[in-house]
Amino acid sequence: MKKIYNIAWKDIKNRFSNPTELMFFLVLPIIFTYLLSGTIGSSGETYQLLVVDQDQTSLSGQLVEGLDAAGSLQVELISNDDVEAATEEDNTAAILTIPAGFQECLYRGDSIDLALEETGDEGAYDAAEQQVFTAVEQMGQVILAANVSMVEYEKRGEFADDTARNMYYEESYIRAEAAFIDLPQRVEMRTPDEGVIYERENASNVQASAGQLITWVFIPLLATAVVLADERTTGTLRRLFTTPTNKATFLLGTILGQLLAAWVQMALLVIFGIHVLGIDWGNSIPGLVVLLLAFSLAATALGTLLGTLARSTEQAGGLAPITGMVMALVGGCWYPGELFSDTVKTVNQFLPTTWALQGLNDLGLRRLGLVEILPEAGILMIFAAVFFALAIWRFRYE
Amino acid sequence: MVKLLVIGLKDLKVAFRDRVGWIMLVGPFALTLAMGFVTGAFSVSTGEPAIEATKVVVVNEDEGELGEAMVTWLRDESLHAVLNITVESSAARARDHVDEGDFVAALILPFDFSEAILGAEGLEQESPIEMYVYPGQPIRVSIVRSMIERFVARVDAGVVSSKVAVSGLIGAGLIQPQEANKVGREIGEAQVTMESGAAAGITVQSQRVEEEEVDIQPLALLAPSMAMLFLMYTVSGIGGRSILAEREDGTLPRMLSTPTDGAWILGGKVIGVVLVGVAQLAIVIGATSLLFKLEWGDTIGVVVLIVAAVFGAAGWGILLAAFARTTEQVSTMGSALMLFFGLLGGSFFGGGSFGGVLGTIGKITPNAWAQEGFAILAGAGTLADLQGTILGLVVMGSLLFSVAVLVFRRRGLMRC
Amino acid sequence: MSNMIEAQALTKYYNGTPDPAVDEVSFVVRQGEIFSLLGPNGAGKSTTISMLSCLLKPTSGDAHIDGASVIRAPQKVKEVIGVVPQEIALYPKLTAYENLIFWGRLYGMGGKVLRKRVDEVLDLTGLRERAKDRVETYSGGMQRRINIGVGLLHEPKVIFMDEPTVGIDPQSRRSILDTVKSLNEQGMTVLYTTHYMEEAQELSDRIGIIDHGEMIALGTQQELTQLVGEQDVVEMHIAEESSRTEVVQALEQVQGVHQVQPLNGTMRLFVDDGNAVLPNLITVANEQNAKITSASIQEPNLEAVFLHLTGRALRD
Repeated sequence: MKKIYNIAWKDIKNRFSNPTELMFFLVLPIIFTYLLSGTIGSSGETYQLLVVDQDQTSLSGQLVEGLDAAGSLQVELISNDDVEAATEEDNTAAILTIPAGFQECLYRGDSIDLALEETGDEGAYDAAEQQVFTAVEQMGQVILAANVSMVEYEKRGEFADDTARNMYYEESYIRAEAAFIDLPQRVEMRTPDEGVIYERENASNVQASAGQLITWVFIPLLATAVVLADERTTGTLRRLFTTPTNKATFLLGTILGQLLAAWVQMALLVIFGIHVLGIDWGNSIPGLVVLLLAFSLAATALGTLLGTLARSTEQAGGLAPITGMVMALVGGCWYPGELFSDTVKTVNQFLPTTWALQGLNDLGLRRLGLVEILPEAGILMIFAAVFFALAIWRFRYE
Repeated sequence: MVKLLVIGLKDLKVAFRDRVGWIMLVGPFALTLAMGFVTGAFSVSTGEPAIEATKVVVVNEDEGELGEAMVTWLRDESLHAVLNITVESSAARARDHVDEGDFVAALILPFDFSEAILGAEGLEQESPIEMYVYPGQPIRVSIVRSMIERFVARVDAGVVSSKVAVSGLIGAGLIQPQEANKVGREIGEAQVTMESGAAAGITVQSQRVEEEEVDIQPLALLAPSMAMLFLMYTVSGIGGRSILAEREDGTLPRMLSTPTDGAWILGGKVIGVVLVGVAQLAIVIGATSLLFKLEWGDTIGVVVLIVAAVFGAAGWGILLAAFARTTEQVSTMGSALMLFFGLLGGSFFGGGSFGGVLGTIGKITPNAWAQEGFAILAGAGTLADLQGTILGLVVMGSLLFSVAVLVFRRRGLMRC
Repeated sequence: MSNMIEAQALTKYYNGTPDPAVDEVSFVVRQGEIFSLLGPNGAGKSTTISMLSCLLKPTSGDAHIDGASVIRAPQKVKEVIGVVPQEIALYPKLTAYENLIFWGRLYGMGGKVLRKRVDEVLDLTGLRERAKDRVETYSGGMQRRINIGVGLLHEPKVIFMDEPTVGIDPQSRRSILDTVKSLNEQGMTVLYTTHYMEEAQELSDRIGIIDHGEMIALGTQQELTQLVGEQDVVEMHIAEESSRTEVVQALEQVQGVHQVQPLNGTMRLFVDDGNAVLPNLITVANEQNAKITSASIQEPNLEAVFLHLTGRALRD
């Protein structure tokens, strides 16, 4: 055992003798997790939706209020004269023009077009468009109800004059608006975990964080290949086997060194996710620990196998990130696995990243426990066993 | 000039004699393939739907007509591409199916669903649809949820319209209270069949800057993003590394012992890096064009953009080499740069990017500029449309190279 | 004196090659002696050492080191041998001290005993003051010294040194040779491989000459030089433009000449009595219009032995 720890400690010292290793160990994973977990605001946060209200009526005012509540872009009312200057501003996403006669048109029961013009980048415009559509749809329902009321009245009677007509419209509008506000929730979301309200945003955050956690632990563990290749090319591996140290001791020591570093890394990333990004990893800490342990073993085993295949440090250094990225990608770490085709889902069953991600999703999203994730952990251990067996079979000291 | 090419071509040969060079070529290609595979980008060309229909199980316990109407709508042919509906009689079994992952959601319509919406008690009755979900598929869940909510919202809108109309008519004395139900039903039915005569209300005319709709193949954006990701590694980790490696191996002092100025040697190394990078991008582009019939756009534009992108990236690689002290440092920093620039420049979003401040910062990366250029070309742009992009990349490369030369000279790295 | 190393018909075939890298090599190394394996590059020296170090399994044959078989008891063998490989097999990012501690632990040492021994080795190699510096900052010679130091940590009974002076400056080389002698004076058995004749001559009690995987000669220096008999070696440097074939043929006819070996502008001649034959050799060469730039008479050395046995120079 002492020799195993000796080798592990030597590898850890070697690895962290280079301060830039911390960049890969912690800094970049945290940056990636933070930026890709979806916890930062969308591009529209700093953008504005400019509105030119040429109608200046209560209905146009209602629409502007509705716009404000319908999305994350800041709504700014401007006059016609200010349009040109405003479009020069960097933080303008789009300009919406409510034409004169808006209210009158709606009172008449006619439809009216609003012009939405792109002024900023495409991403911001998409957000602006969505915000306008949402507000228009909401208002549109109320307007439709008011229009129906007008149509039905006019089927059976006549308004005394335009004033009466408009008053009736306004009353219908108010009644419709109140009716919509009072509507109860028609769809109740439920999950297996009774105590947790299902939040789409949290679910996406958990998924993205899980993907990043797996990616950033997986690739460095595959770099076990580099450690092995390095030892082989520098001759230290050969020397090692002239000491009374057998192959198993060496491999276990090398693997332990990588695993220890990985466990610390995973712990730090999980803690960061929980406390800084507010990621909820579910109810089962033992489940999380077991799953991550099994995953780290599988990854290290694969890295060890890659180390027996690479002929030089540079080859190993190229193979490890490419293999890691492809496996992370096809395993669903970067792109939602739920949207994969059946073909992809069949293929990715053969990847450890897939099972690790599924396990994390089961813990964080489905809020399952240790017992329920044992199958995934078991499969990861099988991966570890197979990769290790192949690595030992292929292992040469030069 | 000849010496520049001599040094550059030597580096190209050295790069591809080593298997690592080929790994750097295969890498972006493998990643592009993987990206296309998982995003279903390959299936776009075959016309198959990229995402399979979401499996939903429906339990209709509703005693009224609304439940049946919803089930019929869900099973409509027009939704077959989006939803794969199974009807189940038992709510408990439906929930079990979801727990086992067989379905994304179970929609359980309560017995008084119709009554709550259409009944005489008013619209405020609460009898919601239970949507029991498999939380592991939040995107599909949200798709189903928004579809159901939209359906229910339409129904609610119709009911609200009828009730508002009826209460108005009663208030105006145009109908009697006892006629309310009958009139309300007539109005409701007219809405469903779109014969109410009521106008749609407000429509939005969306005026984007790019009016013409061009069919862009998703892979045409994914492939360059992956290629640029690896290009940064190649030019910095390998290209930049080769400069320091020459110094460590002793071949640089040897070159300096010939009548060749240090700046020319550095220039030759840059050319070598550019040649390797161009080869890398060209292979990705060529292979995807041949194998996947990918349309990259205007050929001349593509060629010029490749050279400019590599030039911009190479500037970073040479600058790295100027500041690093050992080959190992260059490799490590090159990897970090590859990942960081890939993130900022959009390589991990299949070509998209951050907005706002991050998007602006991303402009320091050749990834972002090149991505923009490839998107322009994929959208039927020509060389003329690339002026800004090319200029940006050339300025980037020139500036970085100039700084690198200064640093090299100051550190005496181009002397024995 | 007992035998520390007994190699018995060691043979090694590498996969896919019809010819053996080492072909039935047998020799013994007595306790306390310095034994050199001398041969050109590719002769099979490193393969032999690898088999004795239990890194390679012999295809056939066996070896015993301090009574333990390299095939049946490799762990026991490793406990008594120290190996100094040709390459600098150290961790460049670790300090010399850290390297020594690490390797010492692999030999089962630890605690105060190991630390004390590390200090001793640092003193022996003259690197105590640089012990806390990373090995990558050392000069080539210093790295070689630490490389040797690692092999000595566990006070092995026998040390294998595989061409330890390749590619280093003369001063460092001198230092290493002195270290080897010093270790031997303290009772260590040394198996030393080299392709430098001078090293083998200076250090060795006995020498084994190996070529193309075969042990072609074995014995003390005196025994080996007697293989070329009582002959002297005359070395004549002849200008390139002279016609060599005719010159060689003419020289072979001179009385007292046994063998003429032309080698890159030099003629090596094995003769009965150098002093007596030399004037005739010069005369004959002149008759052939061969321009002699220098001539000398040498006692037979290992280079000559190798040449005599193989027809090739030790360093071609």
